Amino acid sequence: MSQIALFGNPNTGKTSLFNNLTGSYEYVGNWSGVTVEKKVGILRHQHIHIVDLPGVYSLHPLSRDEGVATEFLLTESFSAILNIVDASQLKRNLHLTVQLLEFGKPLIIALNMIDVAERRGVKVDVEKISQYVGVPVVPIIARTGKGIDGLVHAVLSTSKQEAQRFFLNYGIEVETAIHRISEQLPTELNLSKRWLALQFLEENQRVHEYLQASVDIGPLLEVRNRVQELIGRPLPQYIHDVREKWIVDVIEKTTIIAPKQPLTITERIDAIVTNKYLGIPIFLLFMYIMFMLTFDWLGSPLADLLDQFFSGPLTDGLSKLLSIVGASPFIKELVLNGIVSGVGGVLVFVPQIFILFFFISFLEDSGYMARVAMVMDRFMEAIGLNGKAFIPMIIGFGCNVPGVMAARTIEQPKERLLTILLLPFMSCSARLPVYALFVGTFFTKHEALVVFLLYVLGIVVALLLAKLFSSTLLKNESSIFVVELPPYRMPQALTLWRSTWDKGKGFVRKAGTFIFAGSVAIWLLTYIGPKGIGVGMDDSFLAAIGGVLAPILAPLGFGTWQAGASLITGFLAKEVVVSTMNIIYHAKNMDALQGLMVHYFTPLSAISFMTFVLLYIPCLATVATIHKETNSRKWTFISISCALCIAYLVSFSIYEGGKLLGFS
Amino acid sequence: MIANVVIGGAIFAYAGWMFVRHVKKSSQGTCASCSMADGCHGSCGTYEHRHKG
Repeated sequence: MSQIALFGNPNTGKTSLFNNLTGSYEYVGNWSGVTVEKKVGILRHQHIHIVDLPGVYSLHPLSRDEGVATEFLLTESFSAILNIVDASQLKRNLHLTVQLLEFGKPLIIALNMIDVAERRGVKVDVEKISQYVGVPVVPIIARTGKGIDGLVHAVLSTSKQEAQRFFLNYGIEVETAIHRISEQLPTELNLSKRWLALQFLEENQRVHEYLQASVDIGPLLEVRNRVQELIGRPLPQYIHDVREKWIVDVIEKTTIIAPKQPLTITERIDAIVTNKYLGIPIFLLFMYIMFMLTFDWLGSPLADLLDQFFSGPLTDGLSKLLSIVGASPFIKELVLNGIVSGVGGVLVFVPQIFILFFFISFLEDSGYMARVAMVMDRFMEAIGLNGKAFIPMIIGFGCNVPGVMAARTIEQPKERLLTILLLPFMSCSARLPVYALFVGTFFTKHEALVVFLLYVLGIVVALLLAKLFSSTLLKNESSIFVVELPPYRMPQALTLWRSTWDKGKGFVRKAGTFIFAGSVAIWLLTYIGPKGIGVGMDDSFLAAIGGVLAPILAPLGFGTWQAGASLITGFLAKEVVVSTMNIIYHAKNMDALQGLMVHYFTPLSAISFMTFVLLYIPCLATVATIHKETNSRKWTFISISCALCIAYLVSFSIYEGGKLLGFS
Repeated sequence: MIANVVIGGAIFAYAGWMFVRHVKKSSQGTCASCSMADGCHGSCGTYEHRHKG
């Protein structure tokens, strides 16, 4: 069975071509004397072996891999050479081609990556190059298999023909030397004498050893030294230069190089946003702008309008309607102080939630978020995770449940578990109404900045914990993160709206379902107490329940039963913290609530409270999802207890530290 | 009086139902508890499909 040798530079798509030509490896074995594997396959539907040789830049062996290529040429029998050449790197690739052409066997050039070359503005005239070099040249795209049939056809016809003689003139001195060396080589050597002479002059060590075994090497060395003296510089360099000159000439005559394309918009943007140093600051800047839009510039004015509607026309209308139907004071209280306060108190933040989701969707659809994951990869690698983990974290900004589930895409089990454990620290949209309420009361001039810092705090805590876990409990092997960077595009209005609505509708739906239910339950718990029905707020069941937590929370700056009760109800859904506060403080509208809260919180304790809400416990749905995804009670428990401890510790540090620094 | 019973009954019945439903769904975790399950193009799409079909 005849044999074809596959030669090429490293990274030219040689393995793809080999697999395309053969389907699969027939066998893998070792070359005698070397440990490098050779791969041999059978050309599809033909009785021809194809030998895949290690990728080399030249036959002049610098490494053992490269020695294999020369070894093959010297010792193996084969009918033709298939030389794969990267069309986008012709100048470098053709050096090997020249040496193979000089070997004197039938040769076919597979011109690979013509698509890449064309994208880089290099158009190769295949017919011209074939005429110039004197061998068949077949354009292919090995990756996709394009042009492989034509190549197989060329291989079959060429391997049956005699090789065309290739002659590159190295100048009178070297040509004389080649002639003199060739004369001294025994005729039984079944190899091109010119090639052997040239490789010897080039100081190919393997050829040197080969010749030493069959002839007296002394006179050959004399010839080599003499020609080197005549030329006045190292022979390998001289030979390389002659070949280079020929290659440049070939390229000039056979390729058209388009004027350098200006960088695309995507490339220009990426050069800035994925910059090693600027990447993360730019991401933080985008986040900050997003919060400025969400709060200061757009969200708060809209929320105020909505609040005016709830506390004004809606409350008045409902009140009149209830009077008309003859509702009792109990029902009036339930509807106006329970449902309207509880549900309305959360619904007023719908504009902020939707604006935030709109911008997150915008960043996702524009292609920027993929860059963020890439930028974060460098950073996250240092803490034992990779950029892939940042994608579930970004999803977690919307809702932690899909974030936890998105961690499924992480293949490494320990990295996946670590990502799941850290996800609850990403501030989900349900926590946003709590921040909005507090910053609207205590930080009217810096609403966006405070919320931005809370989000960043969540990320920082998550990353610090990742470092801690990955160097202790969850040591793991590093994995590689590959992300496709789509070109930037302006998101379509309809897609953007759908994406925003998909994220935000859950919030609205929850207001009409669970928050409604929660508001009724909370109001009822404030209406009844151990001493009976219609008791004062401080004597209610809710006060009793919240009171249990109050002393524990006191060191954090919010040791009131109201804070305790809100945090307990927040476990079911974080938005309910706001509903509870609205009901507890009997606020008619947001302004009234904010006015009342000043009596129970200070700016410092407000920050401490918001931090606690950010970190304290994943909501019931997230806890259940963590349990399902980890399939472990132990890790679910660790997730809850770790969050509680961290929240307590961080809030305590903020409150006590702030007091020490003189804040109040 | 009837109006009070009707309104009160409706509110408490609806609230009770929603409360139980929320806790049940949340406790199930994953897709059942996910607010984005409807629009999810990942595994939840399959979940919805499976449970509707």
